[in-house]
Amino acid sequence: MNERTLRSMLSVFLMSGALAAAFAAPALAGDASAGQSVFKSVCSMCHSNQPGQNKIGPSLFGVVGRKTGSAEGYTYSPANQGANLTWDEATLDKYLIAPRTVIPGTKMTYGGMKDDEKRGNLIAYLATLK
Amino acid sequence: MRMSGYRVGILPLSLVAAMAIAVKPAEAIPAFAQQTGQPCTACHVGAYGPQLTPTGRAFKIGGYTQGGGDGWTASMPLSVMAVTSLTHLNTGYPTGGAPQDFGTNNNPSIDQANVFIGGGLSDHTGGLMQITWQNIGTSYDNFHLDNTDLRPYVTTFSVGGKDLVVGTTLNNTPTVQDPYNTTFAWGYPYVSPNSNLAPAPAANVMLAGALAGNSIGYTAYAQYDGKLYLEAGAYSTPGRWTLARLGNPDSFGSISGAAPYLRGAYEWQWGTNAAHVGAMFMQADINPSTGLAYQTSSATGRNRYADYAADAAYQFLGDGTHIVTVQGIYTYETQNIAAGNAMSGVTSKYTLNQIRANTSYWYKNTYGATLGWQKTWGPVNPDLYGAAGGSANNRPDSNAFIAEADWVPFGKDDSRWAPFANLKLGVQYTAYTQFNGGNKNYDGNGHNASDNNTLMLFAWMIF
Repeated sequence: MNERTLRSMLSVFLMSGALAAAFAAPALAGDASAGQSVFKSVCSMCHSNQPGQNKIGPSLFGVVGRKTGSAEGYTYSPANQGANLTWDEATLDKYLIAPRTVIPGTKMTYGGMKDDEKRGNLIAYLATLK
Repeated sequence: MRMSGYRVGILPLSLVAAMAIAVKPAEAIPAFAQQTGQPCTACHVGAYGPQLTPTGRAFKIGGYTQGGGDGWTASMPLSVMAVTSLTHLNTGYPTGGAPQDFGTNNNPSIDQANVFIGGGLSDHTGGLMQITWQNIGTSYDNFHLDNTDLRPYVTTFSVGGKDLVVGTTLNNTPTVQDPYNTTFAWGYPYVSPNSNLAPAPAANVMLAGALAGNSIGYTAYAQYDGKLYLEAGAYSTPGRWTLARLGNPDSFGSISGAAPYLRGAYEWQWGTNAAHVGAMFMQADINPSTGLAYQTSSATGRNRYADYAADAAYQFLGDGTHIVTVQGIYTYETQNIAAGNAMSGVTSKYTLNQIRANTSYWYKNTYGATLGWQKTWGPVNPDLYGAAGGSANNRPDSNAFIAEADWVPFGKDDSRWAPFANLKLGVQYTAYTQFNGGNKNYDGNGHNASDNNTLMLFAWMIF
């Protein structure tokens, strides 16, 4: 096996791995349109999708890429303020499965969204809020 | 003829008091927790209904439609409930005078068992329906349709960048649809001694249960930005055929035409605090009961009741470790009593006042203490509050202090068997300084107000 063949095999392996990883993380490839209806039926009671409009929970406008505990005008739990996380898509995915596992003590009492597809769609929709 | 009006006036109010007391516990149901994926603490102070948090109010105003739960149980809209108690009176019933099947004092009882159907049918339609079994006393059929609050259509608009929730209700009890626990259907005390085992004052304002279960209300409401809540609608009485099948006699009387109902409130939320002020109005022309179940008549005249109420509340929720609530409502009622005076054409005009206030403290949504005060007063009123209702001086006055201590072991997000297992164990003491018009010998038969002081131990379960 020469060096070129080895490089080709490695490339195929890595590309396959990357593709597999991409498909294994539906949160990063969701349907934003379907996610909007998930937002409406699950999140909208406590969260607004409008900038600066905090409800029982903070506004989710611009949440993707935001630091935890940083929505202006919202009173966070000390747990959320001290979490020092960035709400990227991977963190949101993990958080939405079990919020109180990722940030113990958060005010958000929601038990979690176990359905991968719904969660992925929701995160895709949240990413459009900017 | 006057005597006739006297009777039809007083009997319904006594029965009404019984109904109002028996139907209180409800609303917090595990089916809602399953549907939303939230623990009971998200929507209820003390991890148990019915006292609502801001989240609970939003869920109710949203028509019980919010989702978020996982699995097949999220679509299961059924819950069951039971309340059992032990009731001790300061002075028991005389020998032979106890309610049927009960002793003169210290009576254990199964107060009620219930099935709830509740939740969202779609993003825009939801509701809550309670079916109750109860066999203490005779004012009910054993089974009856209890608190019912249907939301045929609710939707949300964005107006000026803020949410405007608009909805409709179809319900069977004035204030059952109200989002605030200052009002009557879900007001403190949330569980009370069965009035067939522990006497309750005869006088009460109309909004406090007179039309509970035996009316049908159609209202429309709107809430803007989570702050301003407005509701308007009307109540009427279903036909006797319908009421008989629903098991709810119109003991107070039937509404002639439609009774207007108006409600307004403004709420502030800051940090982990919430407060509101509100007002309410309802007016009804009532054909009094003839004394027979499901029969009313305006032959001897029709009575007009108008209730004007103002309420306010404050909640500190913190991080759930320490919770404090304060809430109160004042109601002014005008009573134009024509029933029984048809021959003379005279309408007797009276007023009735009532204050209800309470404050509670909860530690970790598990241990709670509540102190309430309920005072009713008004002028001498022989038409409604005479000897037949147990008042020797024809006055409606009563004054009670109601203290309660509770333990709620479940209902938190980390509770075992959450959200299915829910239990509240409590002890409640009601002390009267006035009862049916007086403190001493209020009925002319030697009874004092304090004779009716009641100690109740209760277990309230819902699954």
